[in-house]
Amino acid sequence: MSSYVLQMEHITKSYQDGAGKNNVLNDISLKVKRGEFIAIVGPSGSGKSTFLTIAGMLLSPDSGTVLIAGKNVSAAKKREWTKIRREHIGFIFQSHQLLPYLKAKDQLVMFQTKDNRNRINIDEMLLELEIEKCKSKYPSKMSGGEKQRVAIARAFVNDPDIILADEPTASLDGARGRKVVEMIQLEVKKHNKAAIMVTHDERVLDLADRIYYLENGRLTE
Amino acid sequence: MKLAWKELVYGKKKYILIELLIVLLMFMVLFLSGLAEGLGRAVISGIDNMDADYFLLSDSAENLITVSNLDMDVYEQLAAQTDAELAALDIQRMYLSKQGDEEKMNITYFAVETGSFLEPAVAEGVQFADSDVEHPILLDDAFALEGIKIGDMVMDSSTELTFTVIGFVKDQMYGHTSIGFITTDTYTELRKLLNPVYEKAYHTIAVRGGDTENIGVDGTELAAKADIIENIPSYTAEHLTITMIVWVLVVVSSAIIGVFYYILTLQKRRQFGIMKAIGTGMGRLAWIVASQVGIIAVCGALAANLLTFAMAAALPETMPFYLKSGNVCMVTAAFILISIAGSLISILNISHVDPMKVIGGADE
Repeated sequence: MSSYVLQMEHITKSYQDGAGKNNVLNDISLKVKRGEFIAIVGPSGSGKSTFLTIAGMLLSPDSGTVLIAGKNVSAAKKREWTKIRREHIGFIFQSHQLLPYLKAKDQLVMFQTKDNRNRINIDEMLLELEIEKCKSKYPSKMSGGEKQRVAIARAFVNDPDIILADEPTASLDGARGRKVVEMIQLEVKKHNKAAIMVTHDERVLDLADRIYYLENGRLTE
Repeated sequence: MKLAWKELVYGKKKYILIELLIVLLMFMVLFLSGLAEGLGRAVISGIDNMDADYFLLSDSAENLITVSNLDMDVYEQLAAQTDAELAALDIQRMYLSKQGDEEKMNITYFAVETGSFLEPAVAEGVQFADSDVEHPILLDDAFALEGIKIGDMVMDSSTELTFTVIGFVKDQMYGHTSIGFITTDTYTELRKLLNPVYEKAYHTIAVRGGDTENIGVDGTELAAKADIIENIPSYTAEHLTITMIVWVLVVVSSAIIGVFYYILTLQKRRQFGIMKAIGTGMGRLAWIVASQVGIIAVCGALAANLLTFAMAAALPETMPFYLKSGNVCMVTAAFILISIAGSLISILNISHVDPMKVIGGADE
Protein backbone atom coordinates (compact mmCIF):
# COMPACT_ATOMS: atom_id res chain seq x y z
CA MET A 1 0.00 0.00 0.00
CA SER A 2 1.18 3.44 -0.86
CA SER A 3 2.06 5.73 2.01
CA TYR A 4 -0.26 8.36 0.61
CA VAL A 5 -3.92 8.22 1.61
CA LEU A 6 -4.97 10.71 -1.01
CA GLN A 7 -3.33 11.15 -4.38
CA MET A 8 -4.74 13.50 -6.96
CA GLU A 9 -2.95 13.45 -10.26
CA HIS A 10 -3.31 15.89 -13.16
CA ILE A 11 -6.81 16.93 -12.26
CA THR A 12 -8.52 19.35 -14.62
CA LYS A 13 -12.03 20.67 -14.44
CA SER A 14 -13.66 23.36 -16.48
CA TYR A 15 -17.10 24.88 -16.68
CA GLN A 16 -18.86 26.30 -19.65
CA ASP A 17 -18.87 30.02 -19.06
CA GLY A 18 -20.93 31.81 -21.66
CA ALA A 19 -19.15 31.35 -24.96
CA GLY A 20 -15.78 30.55 -23.43
CA LYS A 21 -14.49 27.88 -21.14
CA ASN A 22 -13.50 28.57 -17.58
CA ASN A 23 -10.66 26.34 -16.45
CA VAL A 24 -11.32 26.14 -12.74
CA LEU A 25 -8.68 23.51 -12.09
CA ASN A 26 -5.80 23.20 -14.48
CA ASP A 27 -3.60 20.11 -14.12
CA ILE A 28 -3.54 19.95 -10.35
CA SER A 29 -1.65 17.23 -8.45
CA LEU A 30 -1.56 16.73 -4.71
CA LYS A 31 -0.42 13.93 -2.41
CA VAL A 32 -1.35 13.71 1.23
CA LYS A 33 0.18 11.36 3.81
CA ARG A 34 -1.31 9.96 6.97
CA GLY A 35 -1.07 12.41 9.85
CA GLU A 36 -0.67 15.38 7.55
CA PHE A 37 -2.84 18.49 7.93
CA ILE A 38 -2.92 20.58 4.78
CA ALA A 39 -4.48 23.98 4.24
CA ILE A 40 -5.54 25.31 0.86
CA VAL A 41 -6.10 29.04 0.54
CA GLY A 42 -7.17 31.13 -2.35
CA PRO A 43 -9.43 34.01 -3.27
CA SER A 44 -13.11 33.31 -3.59
CA GLY A 45 -14.03 31.80 -6.91
CA SER A 46 -10.57 30.28 -7.24
CA GLY A 47 -11.97 26.77 -7.41
CA LYS A 48 -11.35 25.70 -3.80
CA SER A 49 -14.82 24.22 -3.54
CA THR A 50 -14.52 22.45 -6.86
CA PHE A 51 -11.24 21.00 -5.69
CA LEU A 52 -12.84 19.77 -2.49
CA THR A 53 -15.84 18.21 -4.22
CA ILE A 54 -13.53 16.28 -6.53
CA ALA A 55 -11.36 15.09 -3.63
CA GLY A 56 -14.53 14.23 -1.73
CA MET A 57 -16.05 12.02 -4.43
CA LEU A 58 -18.91 14.40 -5.04
CA LEU A 59 -17.87 15.46 -8.54
CA SER A 60 -15.83 13.81 -11.23
CA PRO A 61 -12.91 15.66 -12.84
CA ASP A 62 -12.72 16.17 -16.61
CA SER A 63 -9.42 14.33 -16.58
CA GLY A 64 -6.93 13.02 -14.05
CA THR A 65 -7.10 10.36 -11.38
CA VAL A 66 -7.99 10.30 -7.71
CA LEU A 67 -6.62 7.56 -5.45
CA ILE A 68 -7.96 7.15 -1.95
CA ALA A 69 -6.06 4.77 0.34
CA GLY A 70 -4.20 3.50 -2.70
CA LYS A 71 -7.39 2.65 -4.60
CA ASN A 72 -8.16 4.34 -7.87
CA VAL A 73 -11.64 5.67 -7.19
CA SER A 74 -11.93 7.70 -10.39
CA ALA A 75 -12.94 4.50 -12.09
CA ALA A 76 -15.73 3.77 -9.60
CA LYS A 77 -19.29 4.04 -10.79
CA LYS A 78 -21.34 6.94 -9.52
CA ARG A 79 -23.55 4.78 -7.37
CA GLU A 80 -20.55 3.41 -5.49
CA TRP A 81 -19.52 6.93 -4.53
CA THR A 82 -21.84 7.09 -1.55
CA LYS A 83 -20.23 4.00 -0.07
CA ILE A 84 -16.71 5.34 -0.76
CA ARG A 85 -17.60 8.58 1.00
CA ARG A 86 -19.06 6.71 3.93
CA GLU A 87 -16.02 4.48 4.36
CA HIS A 88 -13.10 6.71 3.49
CA ILE A 89 -14.02 10.37 3.83
CA GLY A 90 -15.03 12.58 6.74
CA PHE A 91 -16.62 15.92 5.89
CA ILE A 92 -16.64 19.10 7.93
CA PHE A 93 -18.84 21.74 6.32
CA GLN A 94 -18.82 25.50 6.34
CA SER A 95 -21.49 25.86 8.97
CA HIS A 96 -21.86 22.72 11.06
CA GLN A 97 -24.79 21.27 8.99
CA LEU A 98 -26.05 19.14 11.84
CA LEU A 99 -29.55 17.72 11.62
CA PRO A 100 -31.79 19.94 13.76
CA TYR A 101 -33.76 17.02 15.18
CA LEU A 102 -30.88 15.02 16.67
CA LYS A 103 -29.16 15.50 20.02
CA ALA A 104 -25.38 15.80 19.83
CA LYS A 105 -24.69 12.18 20.64
CA ASP A 106 -27.32 10.95 18.19
CA GLN A 107 -25.73 13.05 15.45
CA LEU A 108 -22.83 10.63 15.75
CA VAL A 109 -24.59 7.40 16.73
CA MET A 110 -27.07 7.58 13.86
CA PHE A 111 -24.35 7.84 11.25
CA GLN A 112 -21.76 5.48 12.66
CA THR A 113 -21.64 2.25 10.71
CA LYS A 114 -21.80 -1.05 12.55
CA ASP A 115 -18.16 -1.95 11.85
CA ASN A 116 -16.92 1.20 13.52
CA ARG A 117 -18.90 0.88 16.73
CA ASN A 118 -16.07 -0.93 18.46
CA ARG A 119 -13.29 1.06 16.85
CA ILE A 120 -14.41 4.57 17.64
CA ASN A 121 -15.75 5.39 21.07
CA ILE A 122 -18.19 8.24 20.73
CA ASP A 123 -18.23 9.23 24.39
CA GLU A 124 -14.45 9.43 24.43
CA MET A 125 -14.47 11.63 21.36
CA LEU A 126 -17.05 13.99 22.86
CA LEU A 127 -14.78 14.26 25.91
CA GLU A 128 -11.71 15.02 23.80
CA LEU A 129 -13.55 17.75 21.96
CA GLU A 130 -14.81 19.16 25.28
CA ILE A 131 -18.46 18.85 24.28
CA GLU A 132 -19.53 15.98 26.54
CA LYS A 133 -21.92 18.37 28.30
CA CYS A 134 -23.74 18.88 24.99
CA LYS A 135 -24.39 15.16 24.61
CA SER A 136 -28.15 15.45 24.98
CA LYS A 137 -28.62 18.92 23.59
CA TYR A 138 -30.23 19.73 20.29
CA PRO A 139 -28.15 21.91 17.90
CA SER A 140 -30.46 24.86 18.56
CA LYS A 141 -29.30 24.85 22.21
CA MET A 142 -25.56 24.77 21.42
CA SER A 143 -23.15 27.59 20.63
CA GLY A 144 -21.62 27.90 17.17
CA GLY A 145 -18.29 26.49 18.35
CA GLU A 146 -19.96 23.54 20.06
CA LYS A 147 -21.96 22.75 16.95
CA GLN A 148 -18.87 22.82 14.77
CA ARG A 149 -17.09 20.51 17.22
CA VAL A 150 -19.96 18.03 17.03
CA ALA A 151 -19.56 18.24 13.26
CA ILE A 152 -15.85 17.47 13.66
CA ALA A 153 -16.71 14.43 15.76
CA ARG A 154 -19.18 13.34 13.07
CA ALA A 155 -16.43 13.51 10.46
CA PHE A 156 -14.29 11.12 12.50
CA VAL A 157 -16.98 8.71 13.58
CA ASN A 158 -16.52 6.20 10.78
CA ASP A 159 -12.74 6.09 11.03
CA PRO A 160 -12.15 7.70 7.63
CA ASP A 161 -8.84 7.85 5.77
CA ILE A 162 -9.14 11.50 4.99
CA ILE A 163 -10.90 14.51 6.47
CA LEU A 164 -12.10 17.28 4.17
CA ALA A 165 -12.97 20.58 5.81
CA ASP A 166 -14.75 23.28 3.86
CA GLU A 167 -14.14 26.68 5.52
CA PRO A 168 -14.70 25.29 9.02
CA THR A 169 -14.20 28.71 10.62
CA ALA A 170 -16.50 30.66 8.32
CA SER A 171 -19.38 30.99 10.77
CA LEU A 172 -17.23 31.56 13.87
CA ASP A 173 -15.38 34.51 15.39
CA GLY A 174 -11.58 34.52 15.52
CA ALA A 175 -10.97 32.84 18.88
CA ARG A 176 -13.63 30.18 18.43
CA GLY A 177 -12.56 29.54 14.86
CA ARG A 178 -9.00 28.98 15.98
CA LYS A 179 -10.16 26.63 18.73
CA VAL A 180 -12.12 24.58 16.18
CA VAL A 181 -9.14 24.28 13.86
CA GLU A 182 -6.99 23.30 16.84
CA MET A 183 -9.47 20.56 17.53
CA ILE A 184 -9.29 19.32 13.95
CA GLN A 185 -5.50 19.33 14.21
CA LEU A 186 -5.64 17.47 17.52
CA GLU A 187 -7.90 14.75 16.15
CA VAL A 188 -5.91 14.44 12.94
CA LYS A 189 -2.69 13.88 14.87
CA LYS A 190 -4.23 11.63 17.48
CA HIS A 191 -5.95 9.31 15.02
CA ASN A 192 -3.22 9.67 12.45
CA LYS A 193 -5.54 10.85 9.66
CA ALA A 194 -4.89 13.00 6.67
CA ALA A 195 -6.82 16.25 6.44
CA ILE A 196 -7.33 18.97 3.87
CA MET A 197 -8.82 22.25 4.98
CA VAL A 198 -10.01 24.84 2.52
CA THR A 199 -10.04 28.28 4.11
CA HIS A 200 -9.43 31.96 3.61
CA ASP A 201 -8.92 32.56 7.31
CA GLU A 202 -5.21 33.38 7.46
CA ARG A 203 -5.12 33.40 11.26
CA VAL A 204 -5.34 29.63 11.45
CA LEU A 205 -2.84 28.76 8.74
CA ASP A 206 -0.01 28.27 11.26
CA LEU A 207 -1.81 25.15 12.52
CA ALA A 208 -1.43 23.38 9.18
CA ASP A 209 1.63 21.33 8.23
CA ARG A 210 1.66 22.58 4.67
CA ILE A 211 -0.10 25.45 2.97
CA TYR A 212 -1.07 25.55 -0.70
CA TYR A 213 -2.33 28.47 -2.71
CA LEU A 214 -4.92 27.95 -5.35
CA GLU A 215 -5.07 30.67 -7.95
CA ASN A 216 -5.98 30.73 -11.64
CA GLY A 217 -6.48 27.00 -11.60
CA ARG A 218 -2.99 26.28 -10.33
CA LEU A 219 -1.90 24.92 -6.99
CA THR A 220 1.38 26.24 -5.51
CA GLU A 221 3.00 25.51 -2.18
CA MET B 1 -36.55 3.89 11.60
CA LYS B 2 -34.94 5.35 14.74
CA LEU B 3 -33.86 8.41 12.83
CA ALA B 4 -37.32 8.76 11.30
CA TRP B 5 -38.94 8.52 14.71
CA LYS B 6 -36.54 11.00 16.33
CA GLU B 7 -37.41 13.54 13.68
CA LEU B 8 -41.13 13.08 14.27
CA VAL B 9 -40.62 13.53 18.02
CA TYR B 10 -38.52 16.66 17.53
CA GLY B 11 -41.07 18.22 15.21
CA LYS B 12 -44.06 17.05 17.22
CA LYS B 13 -46.07 20.24 16.88
CA LYS B 14 -45.82 20.20 13.12
CA TYR B 15 -46.48 16.52 12.78
CA ILE B 16 -49.35 16.51 15.26
CA LEU B 17 -51.06 19.15 13.15
CA ILE B 18 -50.61 17.03 10.05
CA GLU B 19 -51.84 14.04 12.03
CA LEU B 20 -54.90 15.95 13.12
CA LEU B 21 -55.75 16.71 9.53
CA ILE B 22 -55.30 13.08 8.57
CA VAL B 23 -57.49 11.92 11.45
CA LEU B 24 -60.26 14.31 10.44
CA LEU B 25 -60.07 13.32 6.79
CA MET B 26 -60.02 9.62 7.61
CA PHE B 27 -62.85 10.12 10.06
CA MET B 28 -64.87 11.76 7.32
CA VAL B 29 -64.13 8.87 4.99
CA LEU B 30 -65.08 6.22 7.54
CA PHE B 31 -68.12 8.13 8.67
CA LEU B 32 -69.31 8.46 5.11
CA SER B 33 -68.65 4.81 4.45
CA GLY B 34 -70.71 4.01 7.56
CA LEU B 35 -73.52 6.21 6.30
CA ALA B 36 -73.29 4.66 2.84
CA GLU B 37 -73.51 1.22 4.34
CA GLY B 38 -76.27 2.37 6.67
CA LEU B 39 -78.31 3.77 3.80
CA GLY B 40 -77.71 0.58 1.89
CA ARG B 41 -78.86 -1.41 4.91
CA ALA B 42 -82.06 0.61 4.98
CA VAL B 43 -82.80 -0.80 1.55
CA ILE B 44 -81.62 -4.38 1.88
CA SER B 45 -81.20 -5.45 5.50
CA GLY B 46 -84.48 -7.37 5.62
CA ILE B 47 -83.31 -9.59 2.78
CA ASP B 48 -79.61 -9.51 3.64
CA ASN B 49 -80.29 -10.78 7.18
CA MET B 50 -82.18 -13.79 5.84
CA ASP B 51 -80.40 -17.05 6.25
CA ALA B 52 -81.31 -18.07 2.69
CA ASP B 53 -79.05 -18.91 -0.26
CA TYR B 54 -81.50 -18.73 -3.17
CA PHE B 55 -84.94 -17.47 -3.97
CA LEU B 56 -87.34 -19.03 -6.43
CA LEU B 57 -89.28 -16.45 -8.44
CA SER B 58 -91.52 -16.48 -11.47
CA ASP B 59 -89.31 -16.05 -14.51
CA SER B 60 -90.98 -12.85 -15.66
CA ALA B 61 -90.16 -11.16 -12.36
CA GLU B 62 -86.57 -10.26 -13.29
CA ASN B 63 -85.33 -10.96 -9.77
CA LEU B 64 -87.85 -8.62 -8.18
CA ILE B 65 -89.59 -10.42 -5.33
CA THR B 66 -92.56 -8.07 -5.24
CA VAL B 67 -93.58 -8.74 -8.85
CA SER B 68 -93.08 -12.48 -8.64
CA ASN B 69 -96.05 -14.75 -8.15
CA LEU B 70 -95.86 -18.47 -7.44
CA ASP B 71 -98.86 -20.79 -7.33
CA MET B 72 -99.36 -22.94 -4.25
CA ASP B 73 -98.38 -26.15 -6.04
CA VAL B 74 -94.91 -24.79 -6.88
CA TYR B 75 -94.01 -25.32 -3.24
CA GLU B 76 -94.74 -29.05 -3.44
CA GLN B 77 -92.91 -29.41 -6.77
CA LEU B 78 -89.91 -27.68 -5.32
CA ALA B 79 -89.95 -29.79 -2.17
CA ALA B 80 -89.80 -32.90 -4.36
CA GLN B 81 -86.72 -31.63 -6.23
CA THR B 82 -84.44 -30.69 -3.36
CA ASP B 83 -83.39 -31.61 0.18
CA ALA B 84 -82.70 -27.97 0.96
CA GLU B 85 -84.92 -26.19 3.47
CA LEU B 86 -87.69 -24.09 1.97
CA ALA B 87 -89.66 -21.14 3.31
CA ALA B 88 -92.29 -19.00 1.64
CA LEU B 89 -92.09 -15.23 1.70
CA ASP B 90 -94.46 -12.45 0.71
CA ILE B 91 -93.55 -8.81 0.67
CA GLN B 92 -96.16 -6.08 0.74
CA ARG B 93 -95.69 -2.40 1.25
CA MET B 94 -98.50 -0.70 3.19
CA TYR B 95 -99.27 1.89 5.86
CA LEU B 96 -99.68 1.29 9.53
CA SER B 97 -101.07 3.40 12.31
CA LYS B 98 -101.31 3.10 16.05
CA GLN B 99 -104.81 2.34 17.19
CA GLY B 100 -106.66 5.56 17.88
CA ASP B 101 -104.06 7.58 16.04
CA GLU B 102 -104.46 9.20 12.62
CA GLU B 103 -100.78 9.26 11.74
CA LYS B 104 -99.77 6.75 9.12
CA MET B 105 -96.37 5.10 9.07
CA ASN B 106 -94.71 3.37 6.15
CA ILE B 107 -94.29 -0.32 6.66
CA THR B 108 -93.33 -3.29 4.55
CA TYR B 109 -94.92 -6.55 5.61
CA PHE B 110 -92.75 -9.61 5.35
CA ALA B 111 -95.10 -12.54 5.58
CA VAL B 112 -93.39 -15.73 6.72
CA GLU B 113 -94.56 -19.08 7.99
CA THR B 114 -94.49 -19.56 11.74
CA GLY B 115 -91.19 -21.12 12.79
CA SER B 116 -89.63 -21.06 9.31
CA PHE B 117 -86.00 -20.06 8.97
CA LEU B 118 -87.11 -16.68 7.63
CA GLU B 119 -88.71 -15.73 10.95
CA PRO B 120 -86.16 -13.43 12.61
CA ALA B 121 -85.08 -13.89 16.20
CA VAL B 122 -86.69 -11.29 18.43
CA ALA B 123 -84.57 -8.77 20.31
CA GLU B 124 -87.44 -8.25 22.73
CA GLY B 125 -90.76 -10.08 23.11
CA VAL B 126 -91.70 -13.54 21.81
CA GLN B 127 -91.62 -15.48 18.54
CA PHE B 128 -94.83 -16.32 16.60
CA ALA B 129 -94.93 -19.85 18.01
CA ASP B 130 -94.96 -18.60 21.60
CA SER B 131 -97.79 -16.19 21.04
CA ASP B 132 -101.50 -16.99 21.02
CA VAL B 133 -102.88 -13.66 19.82
CA GLU B 134 -104.94 -13.60 16.65
CA HIS B 135 -102.78 -11.43 14.38
CA PRO B 136 -99.27 -11.23 15.80
CA ILE B 137 -96.71 -8.83 14.34
CA LEU B 138 -92.97 -8.45 14.97
CA LEU B 139 -91.85 -4.90 14.31
CA ASP B 140 -88.47 -3.44 13.46
CA ASP B 141 -87.26 -1.58 16.54
CA ALA B 142 -87.53 1.72 14.65
CA PHE B 143 -91.24 1.54 15.53
CA ALA B 144 -90.36 1.42 19.21
CA LEU B 145 -89.03 4.96 18.79
CA GLU B 146 -92.50 5.97 17.52
CA GLY B 147 -93.81 5.05 20.94
CA ILE B 148 -95.12 1.58 20.09
CA LYS B 149 -94.72 -0.99 22.87
CA ILE B 150 -95.12 -4.75 23.10
CA GLY B 151 -98.80 -5.60 23.55
CA ASP B 152 -99.98 -2.51 21.64
CA MET B 153 -102.53 -2.87 18.89
CA VAL B 154 -101.60 -1.46 15.51
CA MET B 155 -103.84 -1.15 12.47
CA ASP B 156 -103.25 -1.63 8.79
CA SER B 157 -104.49 1.64 7.28
CA SER B 158 -106.26 0.36 4.17
CA THR B 159 -107.92 -2.78 5.52
CA GLU B 160 -108.28 -1.69 9.16
CA LEU B 161 -107.04 -5.14 10.16
CA THR B 162 -105.46 -4.92 13.60
CA PHE B 163 -102.28 -6.65 14.74
CA THR B 164 -100.92 -7.21 18.20
CA VAL B 165 -97.26 -6.32 18.66
CA ILE B 166 -95.60 -9.37 20.19
CA GLY B 167 -91.98 -8.32 19.84
CA PHE B 168 -89.30 -6.21 18.24
CA VAL B 169 -86.53 -7.24 15.84
CA LYS B 170 -83.34 -5.39 15.08
CA ASP B 171 -82.06 -3.95 11.79
CA GLN B 172 -84.89 -5.09 9.54
CA MET B 173 -85.58 -2.73 6.65
CA TYR B 174 -86.59 -3.00 3.04
CA GLY B 175 -86.57 -0.19 0.46
CA HIS B 176 -86.13 2.53 3.13
CA THR B 177 -89.10 1.33 5.16
CA SER B 178 -89.11 -0.62 8.39
CA ILE B 179 -90.38 -4.14 8.25
CA GLY B 180 -93.22 -5.73 10.17
CA PHE B 181 -93.13 -9.53 10.14
CA ILE B 182 -96.53 -11.18 10.03
CA THR B 183 -97.54 -14.80 9.52
CA THR B 184 -98.59 -16.10 6.14
CA ASP B 185 -102.08 -16.73 7.52
CA THR B 186 -102.45 -13.13 8.64
CA TYR B 187 -101.18 -12.04 5.25
CA THR B 188 -103.77 -14.14 3.42
CA GLU B 189 -106.51 -12.54 5.51
CA LEU B 190 -105.14 -9.12 4.74
CA ARG B 191 -105.10 -9.80 1.01
CA LYS B 192 -108.62 -11.14 1.12
CA LEU B 193 -109.80 -7.95 2.77
CA LEU B 194 -108.22 -5.99 -0.04
CA ASN B 195 -109.47 -8.26 -2.76
CA PRO B 196 -112.23 -10.75 -1.95
CA VAL B 197 -111.30 -13.03 -4.87
CA TYR B 198 -107.64 -13.32 -3.76
CA GLU B 199 -106.28 -16.85 -3.94
CA LYS B 200 -103.42 -17.82 -1.69
CA ALA B 201 -100.06 -17.63 -3.50
CA TYR B 202 -96.46 -16.83 -2.66
CA HIS B 203 -94.20 -14.07 -3.93
CA THR B 204 -91.16 -16.22 -3.52
CA ILE B 205 -89.80 -19.31 -1.85
CA ALA B 206 -86.47 -19.01 -0.07
CA VAL B 207 -84.08 -21.93 -0.32
CA ARG B 208 -81.49 -22.70 2.35
CA GLY B 209 -78.83 -25.24 1.39
CA GLY B 210 -76.75 -26.11 -1.64
CA ASP B 211 -78.89 -28.89 -3.13
CA THR B 212 -80.18 -26.96 -6.13
CA GLU B 213 -79.06 -29.08 -9.10
CA ASN B 214 -82.44 -30.67 -9.75
CA ILE B 215 -84.52 -27.59 -9.19
CA GLY B 216 -86.54 -26.71 -12.25
CA VAL B 217 -90.16 -25.68 -12.05
CA ASP B 218 -91.84 -24.44 -15.21
CA GLY B 219 -92.21 -20.67 -15.34
CA THR B 220 -89.82 -20.09 -12.44
CA GLU B 221 -86.25 -19.11 -11.97
CA LEU B 222 -83.81 -19.61 -9.11
CA ALA B 223 -81.84 -16.50 -8.16
CA ALA B 224 -78.94 -16.17 -5.73
CA LYS B 225 -79.50 -13.92 -2.73
CA ALA B 226 -76.86 -11.45 -3.99
CA ASP B 227 -78.74 -11.02 -7.28
CA ILE B 228 -81.98 -10.41 -5.46
CA ILE B 229 -80.32 -7.76 -3.31
CA GLU B 230 -78.81 -6.02 -6.30
CA ASN B 231 -82.22 -5.83 -7.94
CA ILE B 232 -84.01 -4.24 -5.03
CA PRO B 233 -85.17 -0.94 -6.58
CA SER B 234 -82.60 1.88 -6.27
CA TYR B 235 -80.11 -0.16 -4.25
CA THR B 236 -77.39 -0.59 -6.87
CA ALA B 237 -77.58 2.98 -8.11
CA GLU B 238 -77.46 4.47 -4.61
CA HIS B 239 -74.80 2.14 -3.39
CA LEU B 240 -72.52 2.65 -6.36
CA THR B 241 -72.67 6.42 -6.09
CA ILE B 242 -71.87 6.57 -2.41
CA THR B 243 -69.19 3.90 -2.66
CA MET B 244 -67.53 5.91 -5.38
CA ILE B 245 -67.58 9.05 -3.23
CA VAL B 246 -65.97 7.11 -0.39
CA TRP B 247 -63.16 5.82 -2.58
CA VAL B 248 -62.52 9.20 -4.14
CA LEU B 249 -62.17 10.56 -0.60
CA VAL B 250 -59.77 7.77 0.34
CA VAL B 251 -57.55 8.67 -2.58
CA VAL B 252 -57.84 12.41 -1.90
CA SER B 253 -56.87 12.07 1.75
CA SER B 254 -53.90 9.86 0.95
CA ALA B 255 -52.84 12.32 -1.72
CA ILE B 256 -52.92 15.08 0.87
CA ILE B 257 -50.30 13.29 2.97
CA GLY B 258 -48.27 12.84 -0.20
CA VAL B 259 -48.41 16.54 -1.00
CA PHE B 260 -47.60 17.54 2.57
CA TYR B 261 -44.59 15.31 2.55
CA TYR B 262 -43.48 16.62 -0.77
CA ILE B 263 -43.51 20.17 0.61
CA LEU B 264 -41.60 19.09 3.73
CA THR B 265 -39.11 17.30 1.51
CA LEU B 266 -38.52 20.37 -0.61
CA GLN B 267 -37.76 22.31 2.58
CA LYS B 268 -35.32 19.66 3.69
CA ARG B 269 -33.39 19.21 0.46
CA ARG B 270 -30.24 20.60 2.04
CA GLN B 271 -30.47 18.18 4.96
CA PHE B 272 -30.82 15.30 2.56
CA GLY B 273 -27.86 16.65 0.60
CA ILE B 274 -25.73 16.65 3.75
CA MET B 275 -26.79 13.14 4.63
CA LYS B 276 -25.92 11.99 1.14
CA ALA B 277 -22.55 13.77 1.31
CA ILE B 278 -21.58 12.02 4.52
CA GLY B 279 -22.41 8.72 2.90
CA THR B 280 -26.06 7.95 3.65
CA GLY B 281 -27.37 5.69 0.92
CA MET B 282 -30.57 6.35 -0.99
CA GLY B 283 -32.08 3.18 0.44
CA ARG B 284 -31.83 4.51 3.96
CA LEU B 285 -33.19 7.93 2.97
CA ALA B 286 -36.13 6.32 1.20
CA TRP B 287 -36.81 4.20 4.26
CA ILE B 288 -36.78 7.27 6.51
CA VAL B 289 -39.43 9.02 4.42
CA ALA B 290 -41.55 5.93 3.81
CA SER B 291 -41.53 4.95 7.48
CA GLN B 292 -42.44 8.47 8.60
CA VAL B 293 -45.36 8.54 6.19
CA GLY B 294 -46.24 5.02 7.30
CA ILE B 295 -46.24 5.99 10.98
CA ILE B 296 -48.36 9.07 10.32
CA ALA B 297 -50.81 7.17 8.13
CA VAL B 298 -51.17 4.21 10.50
CA CYS B 299 -51.59 6.37 13.63
CA GLY B 300 -54.03 8.65 11.83
CA ALA B 301 -56.07 5.75 10.51
CA LEU B 302 -56.20 4.06 13.91
CA ALA B 303 -57.24 7.25 15.67
CA ALA B 304 -59.90 7.87 13.04
CA ASN B 305 -61.17 4.32 13.47
CA LEU B 306 -61.46 4.77 17.23
CA LEU B 307 -63.24 8.07 16.73
CA THR B 308 -65.64 6.57 14.21
CA PHE B 309 -66.52 3.57 16.36
CA ALA B 310 -66.97 5.81 19.40
CA MET B 311 -69.21 8.04 17.33
CA ALA B 312 -71.16 5.08 16.01
CA ALA B 313 -71.86 3.96 19.57
CA ALA B 314 -73.16 7.40 20.44
CA LEU B 315 -75.37 7.86 17.37
CA PRO B 316 -79.15 7.65 17.75
CA GLU B 317 -80.78 4.42 16.56
CA THR B 318 -82.71 6.11 13.77
CA MET B 319 -79.50 7.26 12.05
CA PRO B 320 -78.80 4.98 9.11
CA PHE B 321 -75.25 4.19 10.14
CA TYR B 322 -73.67 0.80 9.82
CA LEU B 323 -69.98 -0.10 10.05
CA LYS B 324 -69.06 -3.27 8.26
CA SER B 325 -65.68 -4.37 9.60
CA GLY B 326 -64.64 -5.75 6.21
CA ASN B 327 -65.32 -2.41 4.56
CA VAL B 328 -63.61 -0.44 7.29
CA CYS B 329 -60.51 -2.63 7.07
CA MET B 330 -60.38 -2.27 3.31
CA VAL B 331 -60.74 1.52 3.40
CA THR B 332 -58.12 1.80 6.15
CA ALA B 333 -55.64 -0.50 4.41
CA ALA B 334 -56.12 1.25 1.07
CA PHE B 335 -55.56 4.60 2.74
CA ILE B 336 -52.30 3.46 4.34
CA LEU B 337 -51.01 1.82 1.18
CA ILE B 338 -51.85 4.77 -1.08
CA SER B 339 -50.21 7.14 1.42
CA ILE B 340 -47.00 5.16 1.41
CA ALA B 341 -47.11 4.93 -2.37
CA GLY B 342 -47.51 8.72 -2.41
CA SER B 343 -44.27 9.12 -0.47
CA LEU B 344 -42.51 7.85 -3.58
CA ILE B 345 -42.83 11.31 -5.12
CA SER B 346 -40.84 12.71 -2.21
CA ILE B 347 -38.30 9.91 -2.45
CA LEU B 348 -37.88 10.58 -6.14
CA ASN B 349 -37.22 14.22 -5.36
CA ILE B 350 -34.60 13.30 -2.76
CA SER B 351 -32.88 11.02 -5.25
CA HIS B 352 -32.33 14.07 -7.44
CA VAL B 353 -30.63 16.08 -4.69
CA ASP B 354 -26.99 16.58 -5.62
CA PRO B 355 -24.80 16.33 -2.52
CA MET B 356 -22.12 18.38 -4.31
CA LYS B 357 -24.19 21.51 -3.66
CA VAL B 358 -23.49 21.39 0.08
CA ILE B 359 -19.82 22.20 -0.41
CA GLY B 360 -18.95 25.84 -0.77
CA GLY B 361 -22.46 27.18 -0.39
CA ALA B 362 -22.22 30.85 -1.29
CA ASP B 363 -18.56 30.50 -2.16
CA GLU B 364 -19.06 29.91 -5.84
